[in-house]
Amino acid sequence: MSRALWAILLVAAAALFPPAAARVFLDTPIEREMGTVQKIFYFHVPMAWCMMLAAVVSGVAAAVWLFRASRAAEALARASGEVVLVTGACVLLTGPIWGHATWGTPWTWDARQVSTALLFLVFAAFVLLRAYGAAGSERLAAALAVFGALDVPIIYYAVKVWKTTHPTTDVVGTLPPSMWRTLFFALSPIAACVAGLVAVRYQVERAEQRLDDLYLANER
Amino acid sequence: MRTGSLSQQAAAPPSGDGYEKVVGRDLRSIELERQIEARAAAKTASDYAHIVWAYGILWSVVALYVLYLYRRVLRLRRDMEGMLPKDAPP
Amino acid sequence: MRGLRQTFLLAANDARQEARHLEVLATALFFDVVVLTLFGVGFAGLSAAALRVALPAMLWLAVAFVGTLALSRLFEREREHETFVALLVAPVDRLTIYWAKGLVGLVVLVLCAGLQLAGLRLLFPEAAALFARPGLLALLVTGGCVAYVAVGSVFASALATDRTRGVLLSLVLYPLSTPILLFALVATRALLEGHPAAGVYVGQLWALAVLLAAAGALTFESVMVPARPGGRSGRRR
Repeated sequence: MSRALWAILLVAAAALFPPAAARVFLDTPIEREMGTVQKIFYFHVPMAWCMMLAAVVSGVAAAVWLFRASRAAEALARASGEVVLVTGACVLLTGPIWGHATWGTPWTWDARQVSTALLFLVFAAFVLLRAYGAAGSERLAAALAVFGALDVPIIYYAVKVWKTTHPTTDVVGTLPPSMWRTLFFALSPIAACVAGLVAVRYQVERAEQRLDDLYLANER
Repeated sequence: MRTGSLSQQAAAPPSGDGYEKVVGRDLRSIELERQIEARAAAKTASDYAHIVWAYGILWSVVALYVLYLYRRVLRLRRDMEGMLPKDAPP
Repeated sequence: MRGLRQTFLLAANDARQEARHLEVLATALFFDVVVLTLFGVGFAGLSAAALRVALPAMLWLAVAFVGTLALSRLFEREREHETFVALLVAPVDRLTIYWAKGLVGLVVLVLCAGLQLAGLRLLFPEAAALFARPGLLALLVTGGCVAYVAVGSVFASALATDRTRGVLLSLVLYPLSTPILLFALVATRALLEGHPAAGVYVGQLWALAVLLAAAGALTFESVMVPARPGGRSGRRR
């Protein structure tokens, strides 16, 4: 991963955010049923997508590390795992705010809410295990991330299996084209920011790995 | 028949005392209009409050993570500087 | 074929040990009875409508608790007697250890779930509706247990081999197994209400069980024995 990549991504996110916000609030019509509060959707949904993507990346990287003992994959798994927690916190905090305004209740124990909370918990266990686990717990944590990533498609289909109050998964398909385009426009700064954070965390992890190796070499 | 929200009343016949009744909206229509406006304003205000909270929390979480990363980088740099004198050539 | 025989041999070995001491089964069944008693005391006054919602949760919570207990005991026993290393260096495919342990765990768990079901039927008359379609009920219970054991065996084994015993199995296993419990809950509730889609839900639970068993089989060996950098050379085929 290039050293400058994270800077490019974060600068792109900062540059893309103002036009995205302007587009969301000024150029996109107000949704008829939910009203102005539906504007939360344009950042809540991309955040949820990024969370799932980060979970999949972490799971795949953990599998590569588990099977091939690649330290770069280990660093990527840790970096994405932490970012799952950050994006997950954003999703789990903005979702209830939106729910409070549209459903009148912040938390409905809806299947997708529960599954997202579960994905968050699995990756919280992963991060905690990596941070505080004894020597040898790395492989256990990696297996946890692999199973956590398997959870992602279950979350996606959860709404279809359990017919509940959450907007159905094809909400994007039923949006008018202008809102659809705005959603993807709003996705760009969020995705760039999330990818930038993963890149920074990855670089830090790689540096820490090298430092650990140096310590070990000095000890001998 | 009164259709729509606030239709105009039919013109009143002149009363003969030189005054003419003002033709316009009746009090009920005005009150109704104010009620609807108040409700819409309350809904918009509540919507904006929700939006401000949501966006505030979202970016605060990201900012906190950036702060955590920054502190981690500082610690890493300190550790590296601590290593250097041992490895540096005399 | 050889793998199947090895799996059977390892499972038979575990079963023989279990038959001698009844350690896992006795503790699991006792725990099951304790949980049942608590449910009986705690939920005696519930209305029929509330019970229809609570009964599936009672069944699957008990399975989750008993599963953690039984699986950790199954692997801890090997570690305490220092036979786990012997098992790892034995001339058997390591995957057979996973299948064998899983099989024994599954038998224990299904027995406990059966006891739990019978107890619930005895304590709450509303549970009788579950037995209206016994075949589907059996499939549901087995499917849920297979899915739980598939995930649980991987993590219980990792905790028994590494120095991470301080990290509780439940901490790792509960968040991971909750999707299984959710699917099982939905299916059980559908069965309880005589919903026509109950069969579909049981099918979905089985699909999840197969998926998790495949994932468990893929990861088991790597979780127990570290891979060497760059490939699978460190792992025995």
